[in-house]
Amino acid sequence: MVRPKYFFSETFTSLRRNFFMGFTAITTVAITLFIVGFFSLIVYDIQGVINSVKSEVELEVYLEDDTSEELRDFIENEILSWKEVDSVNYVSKEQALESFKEQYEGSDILKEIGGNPLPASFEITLKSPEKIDRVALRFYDKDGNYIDGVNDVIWGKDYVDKLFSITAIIGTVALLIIIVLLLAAIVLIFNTIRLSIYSRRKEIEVMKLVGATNWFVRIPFLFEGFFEGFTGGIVSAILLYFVGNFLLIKGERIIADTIRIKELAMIGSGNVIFFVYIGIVIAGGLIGILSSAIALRRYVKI
Amino acid sequence: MNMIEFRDVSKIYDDNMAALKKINLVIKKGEFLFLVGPSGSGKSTFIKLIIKEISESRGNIFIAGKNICNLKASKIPQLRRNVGCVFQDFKLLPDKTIFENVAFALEVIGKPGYEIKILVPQVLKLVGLYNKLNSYPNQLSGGEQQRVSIARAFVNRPPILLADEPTGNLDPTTSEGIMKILSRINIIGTTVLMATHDRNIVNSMRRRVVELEEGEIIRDQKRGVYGD
Repeated sequence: MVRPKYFFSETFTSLRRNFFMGFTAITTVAITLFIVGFFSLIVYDIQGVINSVKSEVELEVYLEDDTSEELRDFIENEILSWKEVDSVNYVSKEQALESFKEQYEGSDILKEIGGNPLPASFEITLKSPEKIDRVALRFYDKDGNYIDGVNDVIWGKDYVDKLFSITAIIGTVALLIIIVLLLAAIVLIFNTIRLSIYSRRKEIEVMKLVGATNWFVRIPFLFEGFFEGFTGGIVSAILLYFVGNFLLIKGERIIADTIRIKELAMIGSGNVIFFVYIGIVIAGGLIGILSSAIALRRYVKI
Repeated sequence: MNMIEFRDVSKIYDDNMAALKKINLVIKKGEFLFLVGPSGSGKSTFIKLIIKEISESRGNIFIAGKNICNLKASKIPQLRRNVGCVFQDFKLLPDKTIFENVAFALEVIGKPGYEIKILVPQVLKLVGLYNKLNSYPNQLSGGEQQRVSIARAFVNRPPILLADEPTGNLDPTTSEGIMKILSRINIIGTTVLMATHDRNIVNSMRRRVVELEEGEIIRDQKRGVYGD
């Protein structure tokens, strides 16, 4: 009963007739989905950065200069007994000065330093970085003072929080832009289908007259919408592959240089990127079918 | 057998104008019936009701014994395959050839290609246009175009053929040719219902005449004439 050849030839005849409108619709879908994909990649990368930063979150516990060796060992064993802790590294006053000198080699600061003002410290890394607050609090007593032997505790909580809020902002802005562009794409495909329904109204009238089923009338238009959305999706995937990747790598390098995050995850991380491409093409097809279905509901009363 | 039956059918349009009032009419299988009356008397409404382009406001309509009142939208195409339609303005597709125009009616109801290749030339022979297979509608005269439209309506061999003012745009000689074709179609057993203004045609054919006036049947005559 169903003859695919008929539907294909009808679809392409119609695409030829409304070339300009179809072209516009395809372009809009492509741009929209390109931006969707681009933001997805950015958000994905930032997520990667956050994860790597989180895994490197360190707790630094500075010791009083007069801390006895017994107390120091006691504190170290205590820390090692906590289940959140991954490793503890003791840095002596001498080691601290050594690495300070390395860092500021040739600078004037070194001349001004007499003796060794740097404290010894424990560098603690955690298995579960989000529990850093809880671990840090153990270095305080009930009254909020440091426990014996400890001079100061430092951890990078603000840093992680800031990164989180940046992702949230980028995510929201991206979502708004995407929604607006998606609507534009739907309206444009809707219009091309409406035009092609209009240009074929005589045919549709005859079809209904001689008893074509509703689906028979609709399918070529659905094909047309699908084709436009799908093509837009493919174009955007290609754009994303070449232009998007290029921009992202460049952009991240610039960001990495300015805010000095060495951990910026590089793109190309396998499956996720692949799913972004596939997702974009599928989304394109769905947008196309959806828009033409709406247009058909409104303009082809059977 | 009753091919078309109207029982107490009324049609009231949105503006509260009654186009048809309590129509009762039986048309038997194989009949040839003229529906006459001035413009606005309800002839077109009558035809549109049969192909369910519009729905009746009250009453019941039976086509081949089946009540089409509560016909589901998905069943309407099936109904229309059994009722061929011919219009005053032909409704041919200008960018398709004569063959393609007629074949289109079969394609869209899913007939296979080999059947189309047999049926289309056959029906074009019936209307006398076998030699114009590859012409386009604008290369044909009005009468020829109307014959194509009859061929398209009849190619699927529906038991009922409706014609709404089929000779409205044609001169008397050409109209006569159209009537010959409709008669021929009627003789092979098709029920033909033709709405018309054409006094001469009705008078010369001497078939059943039903006259409408302001939505009511005011005359139903066997072997009738157009009237005063």
